[in-house]
Amino acid sequence: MSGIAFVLLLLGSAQADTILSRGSSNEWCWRCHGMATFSVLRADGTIRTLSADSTAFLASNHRRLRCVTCHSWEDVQVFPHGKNAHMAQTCTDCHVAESHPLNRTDPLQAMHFREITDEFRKSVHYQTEDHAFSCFSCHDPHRFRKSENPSLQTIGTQNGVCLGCHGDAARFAMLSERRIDLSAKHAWLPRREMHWEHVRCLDCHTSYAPPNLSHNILPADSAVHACEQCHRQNSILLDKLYRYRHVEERSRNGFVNAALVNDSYVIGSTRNRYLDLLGAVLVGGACVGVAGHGFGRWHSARKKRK
Amino acid sequence: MDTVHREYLHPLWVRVWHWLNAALFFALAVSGFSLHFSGSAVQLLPFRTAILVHNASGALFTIALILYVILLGITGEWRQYLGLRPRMLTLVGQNLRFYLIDVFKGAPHPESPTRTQKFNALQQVTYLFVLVIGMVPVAITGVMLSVPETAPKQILGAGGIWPVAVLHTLLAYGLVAFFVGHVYLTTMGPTLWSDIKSMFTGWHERVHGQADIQPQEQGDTP
Repeated sequence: MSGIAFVLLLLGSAQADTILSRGSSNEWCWRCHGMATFSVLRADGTIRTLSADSTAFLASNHRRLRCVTCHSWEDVQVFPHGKNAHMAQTCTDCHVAESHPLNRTDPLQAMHFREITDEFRKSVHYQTEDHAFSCFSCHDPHRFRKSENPSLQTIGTQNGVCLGCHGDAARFAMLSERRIDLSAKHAWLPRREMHWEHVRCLDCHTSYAPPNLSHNILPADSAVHACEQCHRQNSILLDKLYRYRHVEERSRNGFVNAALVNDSYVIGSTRNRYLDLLGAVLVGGACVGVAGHGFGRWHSARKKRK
Repeated sequence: MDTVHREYLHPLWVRVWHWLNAALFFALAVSGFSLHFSGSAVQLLPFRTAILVHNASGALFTIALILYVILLGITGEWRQYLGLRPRMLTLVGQNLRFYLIDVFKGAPHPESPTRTQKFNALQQVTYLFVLVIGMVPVAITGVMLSVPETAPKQILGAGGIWPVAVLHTLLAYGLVAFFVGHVYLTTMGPTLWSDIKSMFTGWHERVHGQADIQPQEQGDTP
């Protein structure tokens, strides 16, 4: 037994040496943390996962960052790692810095992290959970990608973040004494599953007050309930779900193409002005034609009577 | 002395379908307008009510249309739509001339309805088009919008729902335009209300010597 311990000690020493010598190489970290089952058993019997998905990381916006950019080098270089190795920095350490290259002046590209922080602090999550809730409760920096055009896949991914807690009764029970039944809560919603598939939870459950950055999560009873808020020409979805898409598509394809190729359909909202114009011509033309014809008949009958 | 000739044109099942269709068509037009223009200043029905009315009316409209087509086949009434007649194009031209010109001169209608040929040539072509490229496609696209799983996933590289919705809306506009004309043309029977009345009773009344001329009385040229 002591022999095995000695071998492990030697291996551990060799590992520590290599970490020190390899320094900041991400590949070296992935050798352990890329294993899906890499985890430790906590004293309370729960399992703490220490793995991250290297494929997702390499596809994320943070892929060019070195692990030690965010994870404390002081704690990482020793083995086993120090207590604070897992979280040396937070999002705002980089993203609110005025000098950060991501804080661009273009309002659609700017990261708005100050405003996001303000919104987040007003949110029901922060208000009820306070400091237990952080950026990382929802956003995994190892797989974070900037919002893209709203495809079914990206909508599903984003809703998956909410459902990670709100769709998992066992997990939610660990966070709150309330019991949650999403199906019952959304029973009023026509074609409930279709809404869930095509709209993000955020689109109904976050505030639309400026700056409208989808981080002020509202209490359930303040969520959008009026159909007409989305199902109208000036749909609120244009300010949230489709906020970037329209501008990006127009710049890429031109306004008409964007309108024609738009593959989303929202009753009452997805109107095409040319189609409505054609409708007005058809129906209006029929009414005018009928009125003119009727007048002509009346006039000729009157003349005949005279 | 003028004699009144009565012709039984519309069997009961046709009349029932016709008036059911008319009621559903009206409900679909009002609710469809409310959905399409929801949030506008003019709101005929609240959105949730309009959804319910449109879905229920659309389902009934589709079922009634399927039954109508089946009954057309069983009873042989399909010939009213598809039965070929000699000089079809000439007759269509004569009817067009009547509606656009001759009616203002008080000229008689170029054709009179009979049990086996209740539509004039222009009506036959129009109703066939309305049925085949209007009502059937609007029902199919309506089903696709109600059950989006049945809609094509993609059309020409774009999402499938949007083109289906555009087609549904376009057909709806066309059918509303037809509805306006159809209702107006009911006033062009022997009397102002006689066509409406015949659609309730099934009997078409024609006064000999006043307006209608039998087809065999016509010449070859309009």
